[in-house]
Amino acid sequence: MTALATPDTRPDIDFDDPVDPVARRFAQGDESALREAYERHGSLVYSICRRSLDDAGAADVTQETFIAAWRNHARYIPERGSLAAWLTSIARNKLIDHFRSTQREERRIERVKHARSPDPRELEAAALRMLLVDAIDELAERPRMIVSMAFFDDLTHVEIAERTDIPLGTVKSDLRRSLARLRHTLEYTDD
Amino acid sequence: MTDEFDDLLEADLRHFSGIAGQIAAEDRVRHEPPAIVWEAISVDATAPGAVVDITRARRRRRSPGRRNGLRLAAAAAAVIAVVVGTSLFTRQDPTLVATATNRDLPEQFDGELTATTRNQVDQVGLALDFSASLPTAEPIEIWLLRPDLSDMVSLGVIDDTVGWVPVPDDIDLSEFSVVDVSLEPDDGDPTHSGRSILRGSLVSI
Repeated sequence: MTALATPDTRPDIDFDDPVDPVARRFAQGDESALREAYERHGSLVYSICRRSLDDAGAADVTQETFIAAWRNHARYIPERGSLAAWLTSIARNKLIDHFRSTQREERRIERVKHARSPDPRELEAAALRMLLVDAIDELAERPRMIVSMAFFDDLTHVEIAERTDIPLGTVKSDLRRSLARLRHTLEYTDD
Repeated sequence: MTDEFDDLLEADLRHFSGIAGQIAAEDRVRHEPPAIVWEAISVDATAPGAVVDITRARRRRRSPGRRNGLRLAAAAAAVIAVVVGTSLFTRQDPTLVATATNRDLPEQFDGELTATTRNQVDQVGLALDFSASLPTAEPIEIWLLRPDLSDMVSLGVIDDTVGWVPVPDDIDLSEFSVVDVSLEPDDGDPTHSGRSILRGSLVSI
């Protein structure tokens, strides 16, 4: 049993700007980044859409999302949040637009009642959960374990350090960095 | 100061715990879009407006009860990647592994990196396993290099929390086969600093 090291209270250099290269190039209008962004985030966007729409509808909205995102690439500011968060916010708006426009069209033709447009707040909550699933999956083993203990076992960082023999300073550092990364991945601040 | 830090940390934790606590099986399901979606996006990227017209035309022809033309034209059905358990990762065939060691700057980092190819749904990437905590005084960047060092691509800035990085789709891992980790000054210069702390080649296992 190793003795606990002195908690490291020296602040790490704060790289709270975990911007990925694809996001930067996307914002700059580098066309290769469009392909990479689609490879990276296409399934997530499509899967969000598939929660409310069938294959064809989801394909339509996914296409509209990436087209709109690309046309507005200069509006995406990587420091404000991940490309995934920005794309999913566009997708959510396109989903709502899609329901509005199909209902208008089909109401005119058939006067049939259709399923209500998804609640925007529920759409946002679902997108956050899906982004969080991805983000936790991408964490390294030790921070993923620590984050899981905090999230799913409801332990404080002190309790985690006690139960794992990981130095308190390391637990706090892992948590701080992981949470910064999660915040960047999940949120895009519009301002 | 420590108490204030702890309070902020706990507040952040509660915020994300709240979201995590709601995660359900449906949140882990990922579908791959059909090939036609990318085709339409890339057409529009080169000729903005063209695809939008096609989509509108399809909608006008569609009548109630019939499938959207988009679906009939799809070359391949969407593949459903339903995930059982907690991980979105799938095995890749062949699996490549690099053991990157420190030859140049051993005083900077006393450990190794095991990088293993691993896909997340349809995205190629490298799972990263460092044997020791990474230094935190400077940014650390991970790269793929050609063995003759004639070309390289950055996979991004990383720290101890990063367990996986995506690899761009157009990068051939048999050509960009060297994994490199470097210390990078935060000077806005995107090129490799030359200060490698780890390097190793991807080999098939």
